[in-house]
Amino acid sequence: MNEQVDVRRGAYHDSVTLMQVSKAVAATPGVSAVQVAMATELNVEVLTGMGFTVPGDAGANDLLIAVRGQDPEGVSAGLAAVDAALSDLRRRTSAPQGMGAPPEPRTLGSAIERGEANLVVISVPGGHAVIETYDAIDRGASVMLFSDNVSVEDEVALKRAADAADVLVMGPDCGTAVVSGVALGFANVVRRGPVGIVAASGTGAQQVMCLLDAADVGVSHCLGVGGRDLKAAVGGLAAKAALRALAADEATQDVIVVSKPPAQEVLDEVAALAAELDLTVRWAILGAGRPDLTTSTEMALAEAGRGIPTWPSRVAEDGDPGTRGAALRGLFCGGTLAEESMLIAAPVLGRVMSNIAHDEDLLLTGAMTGPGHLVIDFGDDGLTRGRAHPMIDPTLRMERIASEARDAECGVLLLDLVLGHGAHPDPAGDLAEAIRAAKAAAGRDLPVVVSLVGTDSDPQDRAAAEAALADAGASVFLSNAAATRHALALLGHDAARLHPVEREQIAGETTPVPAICAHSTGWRSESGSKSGEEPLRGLLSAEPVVATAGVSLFADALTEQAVQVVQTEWQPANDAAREGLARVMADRRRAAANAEALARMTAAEATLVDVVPAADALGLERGTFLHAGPPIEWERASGPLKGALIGAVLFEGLAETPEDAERALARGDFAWEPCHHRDAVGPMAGVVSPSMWMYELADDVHGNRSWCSLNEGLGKVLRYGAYGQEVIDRLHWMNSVLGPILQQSVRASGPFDIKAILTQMLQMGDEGHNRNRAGSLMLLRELLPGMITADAPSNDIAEAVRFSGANEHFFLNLGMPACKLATLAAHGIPGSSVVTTMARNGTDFGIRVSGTGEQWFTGPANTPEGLFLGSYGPEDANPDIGDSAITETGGIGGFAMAAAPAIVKFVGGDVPFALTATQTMYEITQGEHPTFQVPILDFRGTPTGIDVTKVIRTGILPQINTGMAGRVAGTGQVGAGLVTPPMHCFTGAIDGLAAAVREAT
Amino acid sequence: MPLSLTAAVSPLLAPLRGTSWSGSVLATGRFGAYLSVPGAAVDVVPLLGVDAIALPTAVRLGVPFPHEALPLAVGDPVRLDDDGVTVAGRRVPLVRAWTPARVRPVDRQRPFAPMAEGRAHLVAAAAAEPGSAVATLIGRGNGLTPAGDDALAGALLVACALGRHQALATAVLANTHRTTSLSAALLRAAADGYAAPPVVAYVTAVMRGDRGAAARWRPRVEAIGHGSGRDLIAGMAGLLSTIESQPALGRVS
Repeated sequence: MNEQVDVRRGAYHDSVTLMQVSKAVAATPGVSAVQVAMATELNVEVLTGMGFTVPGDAGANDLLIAVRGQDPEGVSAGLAAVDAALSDLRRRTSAPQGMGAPPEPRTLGSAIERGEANLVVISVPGGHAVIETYDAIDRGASVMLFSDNVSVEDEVALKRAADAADVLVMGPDCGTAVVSGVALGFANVVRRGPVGIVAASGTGAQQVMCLLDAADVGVSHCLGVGGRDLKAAVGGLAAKAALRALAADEATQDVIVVSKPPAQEVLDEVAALAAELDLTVRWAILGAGRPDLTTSTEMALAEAGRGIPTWPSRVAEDGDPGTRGAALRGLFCGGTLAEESMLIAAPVLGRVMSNIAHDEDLLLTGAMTGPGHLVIDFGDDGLTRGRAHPMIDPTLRMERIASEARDAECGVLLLDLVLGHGAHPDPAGDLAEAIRAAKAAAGRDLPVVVSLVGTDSDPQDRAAAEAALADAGASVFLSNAAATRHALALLGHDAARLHPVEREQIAGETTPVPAICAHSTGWRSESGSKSGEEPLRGLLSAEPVVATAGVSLFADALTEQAVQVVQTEWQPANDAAREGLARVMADRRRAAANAEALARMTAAEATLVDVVPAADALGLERGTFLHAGPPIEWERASGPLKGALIGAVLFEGLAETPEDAERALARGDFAWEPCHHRDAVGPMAGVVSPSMWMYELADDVHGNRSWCSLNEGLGKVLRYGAYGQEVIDRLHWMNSVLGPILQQSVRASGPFDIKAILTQMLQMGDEGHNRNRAGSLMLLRELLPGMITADAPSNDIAEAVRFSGANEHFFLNLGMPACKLATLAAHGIPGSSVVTTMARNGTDFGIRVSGTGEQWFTGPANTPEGLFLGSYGPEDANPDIGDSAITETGGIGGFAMAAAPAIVKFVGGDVPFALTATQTMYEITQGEHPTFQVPILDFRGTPTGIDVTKVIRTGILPQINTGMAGRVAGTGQVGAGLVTPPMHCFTGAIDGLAAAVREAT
Repeated sequence: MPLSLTAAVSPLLAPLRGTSWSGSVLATGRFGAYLSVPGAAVDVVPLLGVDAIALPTAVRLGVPFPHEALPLAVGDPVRLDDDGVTVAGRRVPLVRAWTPARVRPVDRQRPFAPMAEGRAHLVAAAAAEPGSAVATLIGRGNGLTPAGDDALAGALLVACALGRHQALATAVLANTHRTTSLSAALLRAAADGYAAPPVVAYVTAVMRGDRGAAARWRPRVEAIGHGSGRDLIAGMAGLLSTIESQPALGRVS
């Protein structure tokens, strides 16, 4: 067969981009059909309808590439063209960057921060849109939520959260907004003026704005609130916030509320609020027995003493009504326009079936075909899953126009065409062609009536569009109501009956909508109090600076309006984690809890106060051991961990030979648990036995202590799983000589400020995990006077000093507990999604999170990639091991790699990589460390406080620099390199956090 | 698809509407250019990229200044009319009016005097006796916006937030002919409360007594120009020192 369907797992692109790719590739010679789309149910249906066979396991986050060619070469050419177009996209999005430049913002929050945005436009798929909206609310930005497929429960929760944060959530399914003259989403270019619009309807707002513009009346702001806002379930939450903001806005004199049929009680509340605010509100509310949008606009103009112009229209000469079918077929892009047409048509025609009918009996489903009168809204949720809105991608409606032409029952085609920013760049050209083709194919008189909503200032130019459509034989109206009435007249219905309100009657009448009538005394006086703290954080009086997530078309439309815009390089979060993620993002404790976690983490002190045996410090009893990472049983323990435990058993004199030790450990004669369970940390295997000496560090700010073993130096050492006699002998020497001398030094001349050393070493080319050269020297400088004057034989002192000075990782065992104190301070804050532990035992990687207490979330540890010592190679390396990832958890190590470019000679990579690594970590952290700074980034604070939600949302994993242990027990260090935790730890953590939220609420 | 180059115009350039102006490029920099428009009520117009500090009288592009698409040199001819700017042979349409940041009267004033060095005492004198003291400051000092003017602008913005000291504004406006064109335009803007966004945010934070916000914005103000930001803060401190007898006014060291 000359066709192929490829599934690319997890390759996300927005629907508009894919539409453009499909269109570009379709022109490839030899290609007869191509569709590139995300594998949503709707798109799978469309592809199946095109005759393609789609693999059953493709999901909504998978990319489908379906190509049909005239021959196999055509298929190959098509696939190659798709690849070229997709890689061209990648090149365009990853703009030219300098060495080590930061990545594009990966979360909306990051984009908001970079641009200091006060407004965001979200057009990502519905399930993800809630997550992005919470992010924006938490950052104090108002939201234009274009996405649909958001549940009403989520909508209410989002709007309540927005109220609490004094921001506005416009939407979901908000198609249109204008803020300070800036068009967001689908919006027409209208003159600025005194009328504010609050719209629970996108195309309804566009209709009213365009009518006002045609009447020379300008708009101050048009705040869309989403189609459900005035329903009982939402209770007008956003409409009320919008009214309050408009009431305080200097540019706004009075307001028109536009809505699809609302709940009367909500409308009454909104009217009561308007009265309370002393704000003149007029109403353009659709509903049975209510005036249409055009009539309402005329009434508002009349009330305000403005003239009502003749609305632009062009009536075509249509043929003999006798030859026509009897059915009205309305094919709409605008939901409100569709609804308005139905409201006008139903009393005349009787039954009008629709996919947006409120009456179950009239609901169109499936293929949505006749018989009878039909009105279809192609912008409805069900027809936009994974597809661009029909105002951008008219394909489905075009196909339908062609099929209606073939249906003899179709008497009149009633269409809308909405111009403005965000919409198709030349919609009239395509539509005119389709109309011409339909009329030609019909073989009967098929009148076409178009309501053309737009202004002459729109990018597409309404006058030109009108001419193109009229030229194709369509009747064209600015007023959708007038277009609908014309269509009904063409079906032979009495036009005179169709005007519910005569113009002469309008003048002087007040709009008969809410039970409580708002003040309608003309334009509001200037004396109204408009000073003071402005609502919505001053949104309406500030220059809009916009961050976007989703369809790049909306960002481009903003750039063309000379608006400062920052785009998020958005990718969908892992599907399995999405539900938990949404719950965690919705947790109103989270933002404050994370801020508190970061504040505590960075405020924690770390001073070296003592050096003591583990038995005394930790109450560790004979026969018990501590180890690195999350808990693990003997059978699953890695080679290095087993080796270190064997060594520790030998060292404690609990067994004679390694074999005896191993048997006893396997039998369960001894107990072991993670260092972290005792607020201690251990590098690599991290094995601590009761006799070993430990550094003791204190954080007096939070009243915490933490401990870490003394560093044994390099080569064959216990922490890498070596347990030969030299290892045991060295441990004994450390116990009898080094430990006591260090203790004397600390007690005589301490305490020593370890955090201060960390701060300095980052400015001297160390990153505190795998490069500790400056730190070790500074530590030695502190310790030396006390060591030299210690009460010990001078030979012992000399050996202790030599040993300490010879090891450039000497400081690591102090940097680790210092970071442990920081993360310990941040631990246990309910609602916080900040990671407080990352640790590995050589088999599992485990993390703990501030808001989930002592629970570990584990996954299989990855094996580091990097540089090897001597003749060792990748096959010799054990999976990731050690508590040293506490440094990254505390904001240094891999996170501070940009401060230590020389480290790439040790762990691999190059200098730009080191710079980029640090800058990338800002995308997943809560904030910056105030004292740990990176000179080359202009002393920016290191990225600190890994946020589980950001890891899940971006797919970016924490960057860890680490040593590599040999796989076989007793080998020692084989290299050093770079590693990340498995994503599984974070998806587990998000579920844990979600469970904690459920418990708390 | 390359985006079309468009710009937004400041409403403070409204006096230029209705006329087609000819001028030339006065100065260029990484963030944009200053256009000289002789004879216009605002006779120096900044043409800035989106990443430049948004001077209140600017014409702002939607993108960082595209030096390749708009290779400007000092002296190049410029045309400016209601619908667009023509520079380097390229027409940049003006597609909308942008909203410059503006200091508004602060309701609950709890100002503190920011730490400042330099001209604070002179500004204090100007507030006490505007006529003569303004004359000693205006147009004095280094820079395209002379230091004395920056200090006066800081004082004017504080006056806007306080909702008084009209005499100072009157004295400054009467003397704008004594300084550079750009500086005069910015002083007139400051007299109405208009300034670059970080400055407005900082003045508002100081007037509300929001020390946290003030501390966040201050470095951004200090980073403006070579010394402009610092001189501006000195002007704020100077005016605030004249009202320090008010109980609400605290001092920080």
